[in-house]
Amino acid sequence: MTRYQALKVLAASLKDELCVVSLGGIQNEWFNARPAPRGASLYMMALGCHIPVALGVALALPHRQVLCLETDGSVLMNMGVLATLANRQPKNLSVFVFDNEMYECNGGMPSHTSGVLDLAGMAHGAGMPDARSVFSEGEMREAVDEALTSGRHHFIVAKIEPGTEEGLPNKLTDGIEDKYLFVRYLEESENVVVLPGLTGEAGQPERGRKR
Amino acid sequence: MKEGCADLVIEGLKEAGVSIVCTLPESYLKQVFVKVSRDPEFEHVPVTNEGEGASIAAGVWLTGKRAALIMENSGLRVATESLARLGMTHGIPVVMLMSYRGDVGEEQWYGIPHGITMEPLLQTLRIPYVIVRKAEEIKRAIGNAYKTADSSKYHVAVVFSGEIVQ
Repeated sequence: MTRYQALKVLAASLKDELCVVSLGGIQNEWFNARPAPRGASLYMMALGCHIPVALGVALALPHRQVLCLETDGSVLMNMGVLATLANRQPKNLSVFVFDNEMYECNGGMPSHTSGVLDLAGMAHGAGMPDARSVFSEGEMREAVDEALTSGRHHFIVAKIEPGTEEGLPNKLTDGIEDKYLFVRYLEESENVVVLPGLTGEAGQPERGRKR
Repeated sequence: MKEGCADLVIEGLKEAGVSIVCTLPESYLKQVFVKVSRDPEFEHVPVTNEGEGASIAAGVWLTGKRAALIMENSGLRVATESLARLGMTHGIPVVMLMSYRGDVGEEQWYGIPHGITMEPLLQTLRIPYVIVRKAEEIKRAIGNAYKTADSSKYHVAVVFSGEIVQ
């Protein structure tokens, strides 16, 4: 299973779910696999931050389904978050780790998951009973369906072949614009003020108010 | 921290509209951690390191709600990479409340390095900060930190020192 195949399986099942997306080749592939709603995906360049950012979004919006599209290199940088995640397991948050066992976009050096390390096993050991690895599009489809319908937290490691889909249009936005697109989408879909802008009353923070 | 000062921190957070608080325990502010953990108005999220706490708080900010990260100032060193990515790469702010270990008056040898590194690191990261040493300054400092974080879309630190913590 390539990463793009796995991402297309996931994208085909989504509606308005919020996604926090890790860095590397996954960004452009997800941008193409799930072009709309564009603002529902927050593209981040922040190794080790993606799962905790998704956790923050999920805790703040418990009625909203949140997905983290993580990578092996990024989760390896902050394994501590597995402990925090395991102790909370928000029902509205599922983590998908797309594991190609290497740091592909900067030369292909192997990551620790190319050895004996089993990320799903570590998550399971941390206390996430549904943690598992998937190896095919069929298994990925089953895992996605379960994650989106079971009402439980899921931690799924998608073992993928190396390689990045070629010939796809490029995402042209930077990290600041990606932030604004996500925030504006949240304001619209949640009917809430995140950025009061120029219309706020002086000295009266309007963040969090209904629009 | 003195009990009454810890109450002022809690009041300041509530008046700023904070609903989610990430913490990594530390001795100067231990009364604050206890109060946060027992207060049903806060969702208390203990974290394993300050970079993780900053990232959770950043995720909360994106939704229009407010979060705080309460920590020792040594945690700034741990959180530096996450803070640079969140703040500089993405413009997502985090408000940090931290103790000033290593300030003049520090009695423990192991606290000294935290004082040496904190202010230069905050300045390197271009994080505005206010050092609070008087009880009457606590609530205003916390309220101002959230105003500046929202208007600058960048991190702000409130640092507690002097008679209120020692």
